[in-house]
Amino acid sequence: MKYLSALCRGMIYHAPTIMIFLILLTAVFPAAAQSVTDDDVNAIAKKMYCPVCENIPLDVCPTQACADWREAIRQQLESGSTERQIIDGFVARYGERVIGTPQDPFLRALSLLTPWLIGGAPALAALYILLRWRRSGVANVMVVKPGMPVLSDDEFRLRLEADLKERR
Amino acid sequence: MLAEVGLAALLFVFLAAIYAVVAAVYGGRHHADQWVNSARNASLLTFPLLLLAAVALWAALLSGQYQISYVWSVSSPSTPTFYRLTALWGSQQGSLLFWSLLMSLFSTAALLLNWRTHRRLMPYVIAYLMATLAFFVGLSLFFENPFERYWLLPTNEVAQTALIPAGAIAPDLGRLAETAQGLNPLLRHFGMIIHPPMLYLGFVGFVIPFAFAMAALASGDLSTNWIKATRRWTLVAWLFLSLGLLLGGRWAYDVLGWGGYWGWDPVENAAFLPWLIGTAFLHSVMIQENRGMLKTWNMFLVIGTFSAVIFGTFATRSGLISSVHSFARSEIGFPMFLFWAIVTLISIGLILWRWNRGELKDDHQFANLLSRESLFVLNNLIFVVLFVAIFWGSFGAPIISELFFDTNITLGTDYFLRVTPPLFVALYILMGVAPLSAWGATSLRRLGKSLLIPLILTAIFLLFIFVSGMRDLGALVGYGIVSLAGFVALYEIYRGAAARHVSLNENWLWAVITLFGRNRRRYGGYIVHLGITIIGIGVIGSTVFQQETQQTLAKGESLSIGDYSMRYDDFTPAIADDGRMMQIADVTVLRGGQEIARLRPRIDVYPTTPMTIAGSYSTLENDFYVLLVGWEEVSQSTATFKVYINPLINLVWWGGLILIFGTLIAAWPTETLPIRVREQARGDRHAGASA
Repeated sequence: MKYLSALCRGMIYHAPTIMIFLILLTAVFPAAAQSVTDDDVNAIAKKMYCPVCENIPLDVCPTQACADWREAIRQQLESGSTERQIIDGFVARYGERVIGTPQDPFLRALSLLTPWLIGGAPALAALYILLRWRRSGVANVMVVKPGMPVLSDDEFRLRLEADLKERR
Repeated sequence: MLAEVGLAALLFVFLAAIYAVVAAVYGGRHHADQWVNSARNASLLTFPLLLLAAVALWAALLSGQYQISYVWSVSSPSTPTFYRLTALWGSQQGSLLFWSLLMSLFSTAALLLNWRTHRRLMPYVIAYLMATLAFFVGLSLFFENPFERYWLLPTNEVAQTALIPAGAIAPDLGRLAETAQGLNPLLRHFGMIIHPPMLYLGFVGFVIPFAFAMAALASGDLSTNWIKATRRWTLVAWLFLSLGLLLGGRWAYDVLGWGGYWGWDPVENAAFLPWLIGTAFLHSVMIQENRGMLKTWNMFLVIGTFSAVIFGTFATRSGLISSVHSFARSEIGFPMFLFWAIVTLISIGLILWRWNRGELKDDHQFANLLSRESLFVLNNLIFVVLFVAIFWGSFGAPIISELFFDTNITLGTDYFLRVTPPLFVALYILMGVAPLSAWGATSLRRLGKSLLIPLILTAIFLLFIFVSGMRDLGALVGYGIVSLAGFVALYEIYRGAAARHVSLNENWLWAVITLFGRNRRRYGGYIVHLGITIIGIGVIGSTVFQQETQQTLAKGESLSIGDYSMRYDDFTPAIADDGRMMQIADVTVLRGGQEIARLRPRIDVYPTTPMTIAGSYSTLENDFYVLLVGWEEVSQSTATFKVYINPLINLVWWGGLILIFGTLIAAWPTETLPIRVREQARGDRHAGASA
């Protein structure tokens, strides 16, 4: 009880100091949140593309349109928007072309999976042909067993191997 | 007068090429030598005529004939002489003429060098070469004529035509000179002197193997003759294409002002696509030579390479895909697409016809999954998947999304950096393993034994860079895979030289020289692998460890990045000799408190566009690369800079030079006569001289 009354007295005594400290604290923290550097802006702009000259990343494009977009990113960062919110906002206004990989799940899957599907089909076909050939009679003739000389038509390589063996 | 000379020359080339196609096909079909000879003579006429057309355009550029619309659009009275010469390939019309000139040069050389040795293929080779040339010259004549002139019509309108319209008079030359546009600022760079010619040489070079392959299909001579005839041509085309890509990367690094050398831009990719398929072809062709296998596949690859060349040209010149290279847009899209589609369909049709007749059957079959031919097939597949991935990202997805999904997507760097790295990793692994496997069959144990020493060397290298402070696991794995390929190449060279050193008692230097002399193709190939290894190390370093910052500085203030700092000293506006305004910042670069360089990043202001020219301080370790982004307009007391540290970036250029050196070794002509005959001939010459 004694301690509590002492604490209350102390608080009343230091009230002006505490008030000033709290005011300064609230003034300083928003300012810190609002200090957006060029690097912060570029970190987001790097993931977007120039609306005028296609295929040029927004962070390096020298056109006025890109400078305006970078300024828009800065303002949104200063107002507390996250990277995701900023990019989503640009995509909603200007379409999927403003970013390097589409946000839309279907377009994203189409973009990322198609090359593997197209490329994978001939790869599987080739693997199948290789395995089929291997199973055919020719393979039996060419089985390599330990200790057996390796079948090779590369005489130069064989000569080198022989020379190396002699050297050892 | 110059325009008339150029026009007449182009018209004669077009007629000669068409005649050559008809005469060659007729002569080939009816075994009529006089017709084939006549077709050859008509083909040989195309180069001097195209040279005449090009010289006429050069003369017009140098003498400021601004009535010619091409001259007006790519030069002005203030354009230096040097850039007037390079302006020949500075825009669409001129570059098409230049393309045709180089193609006729290659065609002439191919006909002269192979006329006697591959006579059976020649009629069809002529037909394919001249059909392609006629198409490109036709584009120049009917769509993108470099000799069109401005005319003042009686109605006071201005017309742009090749022939004089009725009642038209020439406009005032002085007025035309005042309004002339000058060369595109992007092209005013040293790299642009040789980048386009190298790229064009690479592109047109691949027409030769394609023509020989199609001639083999058409004539029925499906032995390895067409491969022997085109092996060196393929290497030469690949060499020029590689050089063109490297110079393009260097130009982008110096001029485009984004701190990198490869932006996965559709036009860069369009040049990279034929390189990928061409590289696959260079490897798979060895299987056909050594084992008589993959005959059909090689045909598809050579068609794919040519097709990629034509499609890339079509895609980038038609405006199909926009990019930094969009200065070359025009109306030639549809004819190019038609030509590409027709040539591809005819070629595939020919392959299927021969295949159906059983004439493309392989001499051997794959017997072992670890044999060199199996690993080469795997390498080919990865190249093809890489081709598909890059084609899809550059052209497929944007076109399909627009056609079928009513949206427009751009697949950028993040797409390519997601999809391509696993494929490049697989290629580097194969580059390390495949050279150690044998034709026919290799056991896993034997392959492992051969890999042991390169693996130990790789482990030592990784330990060294780990101890030096590298802790990034991904980069360590990348360096391990890439360096293994390099150590295998070095180890193979060492083994060959050691064998000569011991068995023939040659000193080490002579052993290496004679080793390369005896098998230029193989050991040149190892040097190419070494170059690609060094490029790989540079790419990993400059991609994974790149640092960047952008800051606004007052005069005297500094920024820090990595262990460098940079001080903004002064700002100097200036006017260059050619009239462009330059805004130059003076900065000092310091490291450890010591001044190491003074750089002058600047912005060149042209009437049409500003150009950001970087200042850079280069060492083998890294590049300190600074761009002037903006400045306080009135007092210039503050300026904004974007600074990059690009680690190991110079290895990309050095690796490129090594790659070029290796390709030159591999492509260098070899004496084909047996040593005994050569020595006897030398003896006879000496005897003759002493007598």
